Amino acid sequence: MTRTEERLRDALLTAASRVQDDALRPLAAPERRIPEHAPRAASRRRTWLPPLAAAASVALIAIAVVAVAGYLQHRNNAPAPTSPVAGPPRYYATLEGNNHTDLEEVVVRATATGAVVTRVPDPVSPLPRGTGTAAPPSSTATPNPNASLMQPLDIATTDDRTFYVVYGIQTVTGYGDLVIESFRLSNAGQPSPLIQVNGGQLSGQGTTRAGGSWVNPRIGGFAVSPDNGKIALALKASSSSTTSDEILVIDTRTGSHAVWRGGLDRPNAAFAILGLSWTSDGRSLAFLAQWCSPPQRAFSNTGSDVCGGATRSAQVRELDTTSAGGSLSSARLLLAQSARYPYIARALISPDGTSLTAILLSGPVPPGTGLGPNAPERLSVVRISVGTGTVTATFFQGVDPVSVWSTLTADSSGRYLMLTHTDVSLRPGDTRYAVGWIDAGHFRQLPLNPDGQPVAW
Amino acid sequence: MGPVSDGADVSASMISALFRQHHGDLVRLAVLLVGDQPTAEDVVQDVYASVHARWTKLPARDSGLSYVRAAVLNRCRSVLRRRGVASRVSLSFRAAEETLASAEHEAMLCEDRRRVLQALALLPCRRREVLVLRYYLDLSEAEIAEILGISPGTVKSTAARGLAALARALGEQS
Repeated sequence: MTRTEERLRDALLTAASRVQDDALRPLAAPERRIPEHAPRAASRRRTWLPPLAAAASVALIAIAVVAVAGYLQHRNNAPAPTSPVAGPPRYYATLEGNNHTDLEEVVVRATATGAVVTRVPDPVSPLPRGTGTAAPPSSTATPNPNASLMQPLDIATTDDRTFYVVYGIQTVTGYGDLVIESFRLSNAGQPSPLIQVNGGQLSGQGTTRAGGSWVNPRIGGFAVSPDNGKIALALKASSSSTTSDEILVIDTRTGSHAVWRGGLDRPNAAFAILGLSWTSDGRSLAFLAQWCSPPQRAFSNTGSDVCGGATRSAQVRELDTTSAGGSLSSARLLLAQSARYPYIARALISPDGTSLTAILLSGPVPPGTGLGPNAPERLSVVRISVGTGTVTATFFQGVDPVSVWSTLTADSSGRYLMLTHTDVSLRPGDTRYAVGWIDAGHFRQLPLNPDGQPVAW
Repeated sequence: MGPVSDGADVSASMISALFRQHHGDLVRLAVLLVGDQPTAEDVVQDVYASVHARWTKLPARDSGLSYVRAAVLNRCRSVLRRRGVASRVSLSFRAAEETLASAEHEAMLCEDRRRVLQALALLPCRRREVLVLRYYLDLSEAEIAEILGISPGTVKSTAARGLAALARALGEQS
């Protein structure tokens, strides 16, 4: 073997050895589009078909070229096409407690292994107002003893690389201002410095009604449009500005805000907005509207607002965010609770807006666990056609005695779903969640199971 | 390596088993051709999805791995073609730097290995593929010929030209 061959072999083996089997993103089985029992090659051979198909192909190509050219002319600001790759996102992010500081922080983990890829230090508070400048990570800045704490409250992503975080500026009386920051991961999982989003400073939006000792952050949902152009927050009722949940949409290009509030309130019922999701064009925003009667909230935290043993009804609605704001009642009704769908726990709109992916609960109601409400224990994740209201696919089915706490997150393609639900193997009263993604009807639990939610991927 | 007419002995589960068994090896092969692990993982996932979707037309079981390796090579070729030569080199450097910067617990590639890999990345696709199959997978000329769909003689001459080019780039006498 020559010297060149020796050097080549050594370099190749060394480079290849850096790839560790246990750190690989798991392979995902694709959906089979052809029905299992479809007649295959059963039709007679049609000798006239090839020439006809060739002629039709030429015509279609010409039409497609014209259509694509026209489309490109009118969509200069269209979002970058999503990756054609069929695999699940490589990374996901959660909010988790730091053992050293006892504070929550953003943690990015690898989907394949659950291993921590990076921890994003909380920014120093308070951030410079109105400058839009990046806040340095706390690890590189001198701590200000007079500064209030910055705590992450919710997180969202448009892919598995760009993440957005809502931070609350925590004071002794609760959360004052909210600040939205973003960071991006390199291919190697290294985070960029946090950058404050244009229009991402929200004064006095941080607390709910303090009707007792609870002072909860006002975030009920958080989602970023696929083109990164709009950020939506579901803000919970506060004593100072609103008496009912509302939706705030930030245009990150102009920094302007639009608010939708009112119009869906019902007498003697507590109204809440759970979960937000965008269509791929960044125009439509879907949300789950929930009414609890009589008004009684057993517990409320980020992205979860449940009815404590009360009568519950829900609807999924679609908001046209191209207007300057208005009433929530202007949102189009996509799906309503009914005998067929007695409990719609969560719902996400598909990128093309033609279907919903929902967590539906049904079946017997288990005895109270003391954790919150009683809800049907049979959990299913399904796709529902917006046009017909029928279930067109079932992705997952399981039993969960406290399934009302389940959450659903989709990746940017809408193909891969991250589900959190209660681990039924645990003792009653243990609130630890099983977090995993759904693959061909199976729940693939993450190797290292974070207790935290929400999850962004 | 002709297609099976009915594919009765090839099932989707066998395809899955084949990929799961060789997942790491396939990613490593792709890494050596495209230069970074995320893209390599995407390549293998794409091939898996593609093969899974049309498993009834796949070749016989005993040559399944060769078929899959060939599919990975084809997919890598497409990725590199899209990148273009200039960006390919640039990306290759950047990916190597990112990987090195993040993998503190792993041994860093020495400068010599880096130079070899960069020189390899500059070779034409076919030569690079032959060299990787020959010197990483230790495949025979006949096996490489089967995967690439060329004659053993072409494999031999391509490897010789590739090594000569590599030696020139590294300042050696071949």
